[in-house]
Amino acid sequence: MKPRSSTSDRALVRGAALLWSLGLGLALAACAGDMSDSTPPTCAVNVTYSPDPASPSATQPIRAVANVSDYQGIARYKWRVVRDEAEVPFAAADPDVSSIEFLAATPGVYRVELRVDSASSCPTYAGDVNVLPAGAVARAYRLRITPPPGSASTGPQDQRVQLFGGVDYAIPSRALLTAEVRARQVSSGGAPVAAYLRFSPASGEGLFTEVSAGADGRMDPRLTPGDYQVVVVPQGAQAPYRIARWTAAASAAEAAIDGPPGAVASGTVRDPDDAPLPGARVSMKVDGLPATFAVTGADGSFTMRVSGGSTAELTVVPPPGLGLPRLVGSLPVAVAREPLDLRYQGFSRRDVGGVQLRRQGAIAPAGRVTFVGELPSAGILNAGRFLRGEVFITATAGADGRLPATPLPQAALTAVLEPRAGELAALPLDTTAPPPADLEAAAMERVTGTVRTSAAVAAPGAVVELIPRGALAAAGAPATSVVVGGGGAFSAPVAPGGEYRAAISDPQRRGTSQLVDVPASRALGVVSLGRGWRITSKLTSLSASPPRAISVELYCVECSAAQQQRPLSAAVTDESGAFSLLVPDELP
Amino acid sequence: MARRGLRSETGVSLPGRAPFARPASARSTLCARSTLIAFCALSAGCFYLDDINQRPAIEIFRRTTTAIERGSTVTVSAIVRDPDSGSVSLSWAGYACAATLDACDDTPIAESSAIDFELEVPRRTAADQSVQHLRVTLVAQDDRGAAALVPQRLDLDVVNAAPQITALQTVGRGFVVGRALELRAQRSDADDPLSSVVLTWEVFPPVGSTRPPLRALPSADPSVEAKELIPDVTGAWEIKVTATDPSGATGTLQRTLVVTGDSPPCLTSLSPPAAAPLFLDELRRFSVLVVEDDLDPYPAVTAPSPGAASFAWSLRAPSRGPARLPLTGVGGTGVELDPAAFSPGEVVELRVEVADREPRTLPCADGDATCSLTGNACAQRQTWRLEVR
Repeated sequence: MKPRSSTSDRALVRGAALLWSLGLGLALAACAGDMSDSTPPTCAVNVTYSPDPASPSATQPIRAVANVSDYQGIARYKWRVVRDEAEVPFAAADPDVSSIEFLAATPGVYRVELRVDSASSCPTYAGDVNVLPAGAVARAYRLRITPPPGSASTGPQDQRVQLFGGVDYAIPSRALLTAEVRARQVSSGGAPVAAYLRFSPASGEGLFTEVSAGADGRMDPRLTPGDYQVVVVPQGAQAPYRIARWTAAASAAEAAIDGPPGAVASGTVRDPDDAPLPGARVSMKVDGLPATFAVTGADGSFTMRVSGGSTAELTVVPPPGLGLPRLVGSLPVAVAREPLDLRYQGFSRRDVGGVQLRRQGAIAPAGRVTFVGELPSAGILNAGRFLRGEVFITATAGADGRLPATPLPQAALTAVLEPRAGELAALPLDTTAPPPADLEAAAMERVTGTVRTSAAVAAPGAVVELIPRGALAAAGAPATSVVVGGGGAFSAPVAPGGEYRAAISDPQRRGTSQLVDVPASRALGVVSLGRGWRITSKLTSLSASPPRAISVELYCVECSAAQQQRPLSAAVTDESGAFSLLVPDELP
Repeated sequence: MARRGLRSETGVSLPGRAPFARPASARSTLCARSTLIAFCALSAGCFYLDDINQRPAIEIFRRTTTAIERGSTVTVSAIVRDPDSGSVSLSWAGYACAATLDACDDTPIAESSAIDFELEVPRRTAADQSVQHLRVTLVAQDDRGAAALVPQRLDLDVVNAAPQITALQTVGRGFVVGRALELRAQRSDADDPLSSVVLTWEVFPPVGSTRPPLRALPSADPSVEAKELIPDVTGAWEIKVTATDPSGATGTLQRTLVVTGDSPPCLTSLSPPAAAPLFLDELRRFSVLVVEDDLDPYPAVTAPSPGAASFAWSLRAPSRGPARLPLTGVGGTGVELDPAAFSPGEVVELRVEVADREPRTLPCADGDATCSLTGNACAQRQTWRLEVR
């Protein structure tokens, strides 16, 4: 759309000025009412592009056309085209410069700015044209937008976006939704309950939002309207339940969430000597619903409620000090509703009490050991269904470094030693043989390497996170991290005998994250951050408060389930709501 | 010179009205009178009178008395009197002059034949000197070729408009010791090109400052000059910017910036939020999404990161004893917890505390789930309470 012609306006202004100069004030007064009509309206400025997105071309220009409305006087157009902070030449495509043309021979984001000078107050326009390389492939990603708690917006919001590989890309501004669904009530079997609720998009895509309800069942889910799958985990005896599709609508002000209290499941747990096992924690997860759990009484019996479904995952965690593994197994829910007879059997135990914990030759008083491992069969259910054994047994050494009585299942286990806080070592321990006199934690090993940017220069400030795997992970060892120093080199302590994976990322966004296995030699060599592309966008908000300090994370969609839960890139919005993320060239 | 019959009255020009186009009614009345006189004279036979054309008289009238600046528009008008009430043609010319009226351009900057003469005052003469005077000339000639006896000339002084600093702005939120702030001064000058207006920056820091230098920043707007300042002490900083044009005229603008110390960092956003008790039924990552801080925010709003917030993680789980155990070596923004490492029904507390470059001690007891040095919503400690299932 072309702007309104201003020639007549200009003539009118000149005419009025001339009349004034001739002293014909009356004539001017007659038309002054039309000209000085209170405050000039705020005009609207927009620009359309053709083509958009465009392909790189040294001959075919991109045309930008100004669409200006609601302005007064003469409009003068002042354009600017920038790519990578460099000015891009352009030519007027219209005599009044209301449209321009420019060549975009290189892929990337071309920022177009337009200032309209007129009698009205016109905002400065800034927009982007994406110029894509030949053969650019669109790929789906998910943006998770998390406003700070207490803001007018909802909780985390997921938005799907299409991004093109191989080039920086600007995506249209994202509207930040405000909370529409407020106070609700949750109940079980018709009675309000304190509960934990998890709302997932019914489409199956996206992350969930968690809410807690108090004893009166009241909660504040702060969801955007839509369909959700709801998981409810009541506190107390009721079974968790799932609602496959629950519609959050702003108009349904007090729609309650209710589900069945579940069916009773009961049974007994007996130790390898066939004696009742009190104090064991029995939990059951049905079709992925969070588990219900019960603690066995003095007679080894337990009672709990389980929800309907097809498959139950049963876990028995024995009380400490008995040298028993956890029992784990799957069973049909129909079986779970029968009386359950759980018995430990099929393994022997060996006491490692008296074994001395040492650290580089010296005793390690108050050192801690976690024994982990697996037994293919450690129990039986209802005399016909074998249960797997997972060893997770901890012991703390005394002042002399010796372990107290610590029975362990006889199996090929791993002892994860923590002779002092922050120091770890993983030792194989075969408890089918007599125990060793001591467990020696060698000095921490060091993973070394050099991190470079995607441009192959040193990347000081990058972060190397060492993620335990195998026995270390099973023992609950946390991931540790180190910041890369000058020259790009790093050296980080790791547990001897431990398996690790290194996640290398750069807060300064000089490249995308890399995930590499740490070899036994502990030498990672040179790791280059991945090539990445910058995507830019902006959050807009309907509320008065600017959308600043909002977390924006990018997740892959066409990747493994595990990777879908780990952000590829993270950013926070600035004062204007703008943000910038780095997208890896290749998905993990 | 042509002679016409005797006239008994002269034409009068009214200011602001064109007198040189004689009204038709006046013309016919005059004609009738002349005819009558001629008839009487001839019939009497006693005398003969011829109509003698007289020169028009002109004056230049300047409408406004406001000072004339370069780049502005000046309008002058002609007052014309033709004794014969004939049609008078005008010829205007305007000339730009430098320091003296002897140094005017040979070529006029504007010409006109209208009653009003409007001309835009140039900034530079043809010899590329600053315009300091204007000369306007007017020549008039009636329809019988009689010119005004003395060509009119009006010399006008052109004053220099002083430059102005129209805005002295800062970019960003608040002013904090150690954090770079961007100062943007916008200049304007009515009659000199902006490139010729020089800005002088003066910084008056509080006592104790080492007087950090201003660093020039690029600016896409030619009217704006941008500087970066990194305050090194708290207090009131005076920033004074002076614009000077080629004629030496100046304009200044001064602003006071109150610089504060580095505030404690705030754990603004966590994933998942730590406000409500949560369930741990699968491997989950607990992470800090946003830290707001003057110098060490996370993630960095602009790259490269100006600093680095640091995190201290700790865990308390009944199955691992009563004490809260620091997760030594965990310095990142997130921790993964596996429910398999705990017992069903066990309530685990995962805690994160944030610190910036300023050493501070949290004033709260270990049992407090959150802690704020400033006693408001800006918390440096958050605790997730997780029930293992």
